[in-house]
Amino acid sequence: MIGLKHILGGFAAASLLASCGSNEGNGSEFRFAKTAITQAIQARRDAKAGVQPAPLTRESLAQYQTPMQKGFLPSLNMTAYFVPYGQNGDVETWFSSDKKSVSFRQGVMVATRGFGPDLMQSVAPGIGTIASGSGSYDRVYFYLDGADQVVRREYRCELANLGPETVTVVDRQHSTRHVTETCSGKGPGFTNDYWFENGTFLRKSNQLLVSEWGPIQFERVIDSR
Amino acid sequence: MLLTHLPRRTIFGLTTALVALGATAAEPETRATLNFNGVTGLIDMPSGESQPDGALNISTTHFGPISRTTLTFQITPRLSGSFRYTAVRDWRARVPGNFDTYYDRSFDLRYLILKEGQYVPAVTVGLQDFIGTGILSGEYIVATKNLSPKLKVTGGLGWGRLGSFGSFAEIGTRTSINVDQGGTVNTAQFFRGPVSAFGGVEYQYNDKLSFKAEYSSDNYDTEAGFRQTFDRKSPVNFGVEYQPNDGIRLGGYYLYGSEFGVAAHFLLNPRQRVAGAVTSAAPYPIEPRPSRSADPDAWSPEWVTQDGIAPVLIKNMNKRVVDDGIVVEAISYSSSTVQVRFRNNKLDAEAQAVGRVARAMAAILPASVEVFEIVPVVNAVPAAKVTLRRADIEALEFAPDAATALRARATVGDVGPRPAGLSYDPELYPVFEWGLGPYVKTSFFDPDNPVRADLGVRLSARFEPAPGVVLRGSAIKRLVGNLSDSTRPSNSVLPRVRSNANIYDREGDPAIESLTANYYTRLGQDLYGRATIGYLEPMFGGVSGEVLWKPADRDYAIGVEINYAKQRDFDQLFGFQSYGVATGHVSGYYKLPGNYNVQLDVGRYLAGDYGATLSLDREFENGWRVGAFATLTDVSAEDFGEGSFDKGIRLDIPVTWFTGAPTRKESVGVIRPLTRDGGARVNVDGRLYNELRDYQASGLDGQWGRFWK
Repeated sequence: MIGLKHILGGFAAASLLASCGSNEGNGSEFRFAKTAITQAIQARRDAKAGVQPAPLTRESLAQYQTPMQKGFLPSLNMTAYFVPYGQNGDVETWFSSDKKSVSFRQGVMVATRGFGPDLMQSVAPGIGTIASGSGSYDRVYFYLDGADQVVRREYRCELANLGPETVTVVDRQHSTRHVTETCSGKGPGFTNDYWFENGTFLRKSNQLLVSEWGPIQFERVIDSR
Repeated sequence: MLLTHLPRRTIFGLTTALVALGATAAEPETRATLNFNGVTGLIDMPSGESQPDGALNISTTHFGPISRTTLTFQITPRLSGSFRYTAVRDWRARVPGNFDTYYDRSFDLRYLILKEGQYVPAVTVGLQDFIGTGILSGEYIVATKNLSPKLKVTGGLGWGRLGSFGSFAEIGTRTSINVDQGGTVNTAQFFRGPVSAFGGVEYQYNDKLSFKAEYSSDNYDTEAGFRQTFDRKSPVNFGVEYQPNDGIRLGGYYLYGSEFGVAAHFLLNPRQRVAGAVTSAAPYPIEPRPSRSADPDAWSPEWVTQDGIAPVLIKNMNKRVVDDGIVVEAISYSSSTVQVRFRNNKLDAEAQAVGRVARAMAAILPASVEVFEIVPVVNAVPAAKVTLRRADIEALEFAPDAATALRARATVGDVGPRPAGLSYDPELYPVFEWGLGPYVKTSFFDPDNPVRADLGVRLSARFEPAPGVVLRGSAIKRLVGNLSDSTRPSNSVLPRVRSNANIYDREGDPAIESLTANYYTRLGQDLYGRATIGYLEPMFGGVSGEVLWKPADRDYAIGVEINYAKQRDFDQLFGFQSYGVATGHVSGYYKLPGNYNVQLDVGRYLAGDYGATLSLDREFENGWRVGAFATLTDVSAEDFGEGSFDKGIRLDIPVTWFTGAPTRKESVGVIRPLTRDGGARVNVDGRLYNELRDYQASGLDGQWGRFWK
């Protein structure tokens, strides 16, 4: 069943699709709508045909000369690869080729951009705290709502050490220690997972983007060159 | 009505004054649902609850010979307003009459006087069809109480048509309705005459499904009694409703012991974008400067002495913002302060555009520059000056609630005198833009055919030879449609400044909608000017001049506009008819707390009539506006004709709200129950108030969170 806003949205999208002109606005909407529709159609076809994206291999990674993380958003079945772009103080911002960015403080995601419902800022524990695998603290996430107003979501989080685990990242096995961070607040709670290698190096993690969309799953696929 | 994609903020309008009553909403146990009149209620009867603040619904309901389409807006947490179009078929099937189908327009107002508490019910008082020809008119006071998490009961008292069945008392005398022209407020009738009780129950089986039963006090005297369009056998109605998601609610009913009915309610929330959040490309991160000790050369102020540095800086900053649709037009600089003037062609949120420019400045400008002056320009007119310290931007990028923290350290004010060394991008002017796209033009409420529409293509172009000089125009060519079918001649006794619209629709194909030369300038502190000459709008051409006083950090403004307008030929090409008029207004604007914008225009209208227009808009930070307007002039109700005076409602919806992709485009809809010749203003594109204020403090503050997006 579709609502009026979908009908209106369809109308708006249709009229944009049919528009052209010199104006930057026209062009980008056109591209946006077209890309979104093409992707949706392709995703549906792939799902029907059981198509999986081409698997990442060590050979395909060998061509890159930069540290790289794979980010996968299960709720949208979306994958992007992030490389370091900028640094401000102790926060490092990584970019993907489709212009999404994720900012980490020593591996702990503190902000995102380009996803839509972005994590604007956050109050998060340091990597050392999480790696310790025990204790509890408050987390605060800042978002923008549908009317562009700042929304503050507060959680109480508790750490748990699940012990050693072997994880496989692009054909390579890593001995890690699995730590979970379970957070609860007013709305739905969530659990972040961290797989530490050699102390505080994050090989893999699941970190919440927004509770409606769930976590982004990060894998460190290239350590450094 | 026009429902089409227009350039942002081009439509003006006005309204009855409504007091903003803020209050926190009590949590109802069940959701408040809608009735056949498209207002909160049971089946045909109203209930005591209200919709969530800001909610907008479009309802279409049908039973027997009666169809109603209603637009309802929850104006404040307690006050809602509705506009309805009713059709009664078989009007002369059994009793002779003038038409097969009777059409009527009506306005309702409802006010929640008591919120539901543990022991008290929600209580609402309502006026139904309080301003129209009055065939639907009725008043009520009604209470609703949740008895359990799934069950609520409603009971109320009705007057007018809601007191027409089973009345148990009579309060005063209900005077007969003056149906001459309609449009007058029927105060003499309110809560007078026979009074009846009505009521019902609603059982919410689960989140999606609910059942309703009611006892109706509406006797349908005219429709069922006199006209015999249906047989009203029983006062009891039953229904089942299904709501599959937040956007739609459907219902099936059995009414009055004889008729089946259906209803569909489309529910919109301006605060909830259809596409979720706005998805724009990630911004470049802030690039902090190296420390002075680590790289003393980077901090050298000597760069200011370099020849030709301005175009280089402009070019490099533009590379950073080009994908955002931002154009850096000009800069002025000293070793410690740089002013950047930019235009925003794409981002729906002006604060985000300011943020993107700040990021480009942080990346490009030499380290000695500590103060960023960011000046958004609209048609080359500087709207405001946002002053930021670079160290704050560097320090706060990832700080908790960085938006609030940065806004506290930023100032938004008048741009001040033009800086001595302001240099424009030598490659920017002349600017030429064009667009080709579809348009939809609609006409509603013609009794011969209540909905007509044209679909066609619109070619638009804009040429700016120098800063502040704008030549622009648009032309349309119809592809399909039936607007030209309207042959109803105007019966207006006034100069026919608007009532010949159907002739314009018929003969204007292709039509030049507008073709104007404009000059925009800042006249002094907080003072702006506009001059326009050409084919101003489809029906009038001429000259228009405007001066606006609008302090950048205040919520009010005063403007004066003077025009000489000459009526264009029906073919909307280059010719004029003989009618010309000097018209103009003094306008006061005030943005009230809670995002209500009120505007009062006093002056002379197109038909030569003198009067005033009052408008009130509820605005949302994401660009949504819902408003109403009313104009009273020295034209008598009799001379004005049906409707008695000009009034209407308007919707202004940012296209970004639908698509999630940033754009400056908006869908603008103006609904006038009747378009007549009294109280009509010439439509001039680019009026200053709405062009400028989005970039001033009142526009930026509400969406400042987007600065960092």
